[in-house]
Amino acid sequence: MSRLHFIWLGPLVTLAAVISYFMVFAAIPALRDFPWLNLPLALLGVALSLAGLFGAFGQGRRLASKIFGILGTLLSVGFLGLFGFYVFVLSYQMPTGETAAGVSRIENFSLQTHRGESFDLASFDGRKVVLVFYRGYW
Amino acid sequence: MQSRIDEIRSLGAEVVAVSADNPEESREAIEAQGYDFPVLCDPNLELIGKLGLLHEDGLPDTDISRPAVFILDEQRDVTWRELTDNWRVRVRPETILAELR
Repeated sequence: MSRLHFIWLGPLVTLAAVISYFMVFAAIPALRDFPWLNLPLALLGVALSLAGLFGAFGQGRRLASKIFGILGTLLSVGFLGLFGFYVFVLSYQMPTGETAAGVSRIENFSLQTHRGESFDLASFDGRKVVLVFYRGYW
Repeated sequence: MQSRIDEIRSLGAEVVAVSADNPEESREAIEAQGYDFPVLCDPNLELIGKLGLLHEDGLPDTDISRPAVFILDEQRDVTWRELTDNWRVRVRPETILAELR
């Protein structure tokens, strides 16, 4: 395999790293909480792109290789950047929850279930309750 | 949570989920998940707002709940809570089970 193959392999690996995080590995807590698999894979993609880029600027390479080498590297770095932004910045963007931290008791409430039935929290009185709030829009 | 629901119930607890979704919009997706605990809808953000969990524009043009988990005792007093600072990271069922034991 010529180093020039890395020019297209690099962005492909980076993109696969990002997409497979959301499609597959986000369902596995150990690989979701910190992307132990997908982040190294995305970095590998960028490394491949750089290897391809240096190959493209070797002796006797065509101008097209150089252009594709640059574009491929920009793509790889772009995918990695978006993924890193999502993981390390975007997912921390939410209110601090100070009020929620001070809640010591949940008064009874009544809400509709997803089936449209009415539900009273008090119907579970006498049992412990694990009350889970989701971002929703499943 | 669904995968460990029997263990949670055997420890004397029930699971109740809440989100800001409309019942009409969320019904299909939730039924596809096969949850057999109540999944409650708070589209008017009454409970979510009261508990200080409102995340304005948490989704594009949509106010939602930030993720949170409360464990309540038999009298609805909060005995444990987890307010993550990162909405990618969710509480694991093992953590809940450990707290209930």
